[in-house]
Amino acid sequence: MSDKKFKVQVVTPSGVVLDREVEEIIAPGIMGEFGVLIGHTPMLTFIKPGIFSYLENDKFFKFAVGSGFCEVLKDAVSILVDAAAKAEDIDINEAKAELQALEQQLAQIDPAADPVALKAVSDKVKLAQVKVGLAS
Amino acid sequence: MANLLDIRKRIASVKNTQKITNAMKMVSAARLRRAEEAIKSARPFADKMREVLSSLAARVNPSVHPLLQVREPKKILLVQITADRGLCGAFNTSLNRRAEVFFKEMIGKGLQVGMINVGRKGNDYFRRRNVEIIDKYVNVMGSVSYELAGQVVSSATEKFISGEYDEVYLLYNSFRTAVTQVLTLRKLLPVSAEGEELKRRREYLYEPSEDELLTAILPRYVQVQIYTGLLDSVASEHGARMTAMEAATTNAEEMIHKLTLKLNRLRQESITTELMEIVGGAEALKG
Repeated sequence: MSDKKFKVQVVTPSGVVLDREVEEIIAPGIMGEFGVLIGHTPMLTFIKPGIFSYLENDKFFKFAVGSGFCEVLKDAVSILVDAAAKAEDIDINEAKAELQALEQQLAQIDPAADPVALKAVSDKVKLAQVKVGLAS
Repeated sequence: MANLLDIRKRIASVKNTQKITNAMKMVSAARLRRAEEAIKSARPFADKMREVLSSLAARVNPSVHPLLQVREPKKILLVQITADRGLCGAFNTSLNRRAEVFFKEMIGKGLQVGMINVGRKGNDYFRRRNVEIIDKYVNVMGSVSYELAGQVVSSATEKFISGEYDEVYLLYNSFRTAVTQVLTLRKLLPVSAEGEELKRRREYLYEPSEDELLTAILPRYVQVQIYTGLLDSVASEHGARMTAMEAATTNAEEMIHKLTLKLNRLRQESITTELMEIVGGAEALKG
């Protein structure tokens, strides 16, 4: 199996979240989910908030990721996102509270006046939704 | 003797000061460790970002994105990152002085200047001077976050894209080691891929298109630059404060030593005089 493995890194501004040798990944790309196996064509694409998962020793592990982008090389994948959280580390109550707070924040933003903030907060809301979904 | 009492009071007061400076040193040392970790964990992200951006920027026409647009400079914006608090040696003063030199230079070229202040000390300094402060973020250095960097970026890019300012610079103390900080001034906007080595250029499949990717990556790139700048500044601040407080503690120690010597000498002198007086008196009585 080991010859089929490739390196995957998930990096956020607060540090490297994941750095492992895996067999397969599935990432939430802007044009739909995509899977990567070893030997994939080099590619650069966006990541939208969603579930990123990787296969290691025939088991899937899941992460909630925020928006960012992804660089795929033949033998390595780097995922650069604003935020990421491992499924097992997510506390359901915390995630719910976070989602609620963010939804309130979102409701207060005037979409016409501040489109940048709207985008930023709605991205966070989506990430929080993913987190709640993963934890429950 | 009043003089003896004075010196005792001085010693007590210096000892108290020493306790404070020593405590501040310890606090800074602890915070420095955390800040150092934060900057180290942020660097991979920043490096990767730069790598991807430079390979992208090389393939794309600069006119596709407003953040890449080079204009004839008329108004210059400086984003300065200082500390919120003092007692950290020349940390803030050297930043403020450098900023002032920069402004003079630019005004000398006939350009107009404005600034965004992050950190209270820089803002306090320039508030009373003849510089237009278009935005300020004070008392934020205790909890630096990626979001904070985002706020700073959006107020800077807004001014740049609207054409109000034609160039944006960033001034901060960059962290090297606990005792060395390097004053860093660099151009933030327009973003240029020049200077970034393109040896790692690769052929990619771009999805969606190069232009769209660039549009999304550029603002993030600027945000990461400010974010690492903030983290650098925080780590430098703690380093500078630690060094300054260490020096202050040593100085206090030296002062206590000197004062104690002086005190002992004075005490001895007064005892000698008293003895002489007693002996003299006894001799006179023997008569």
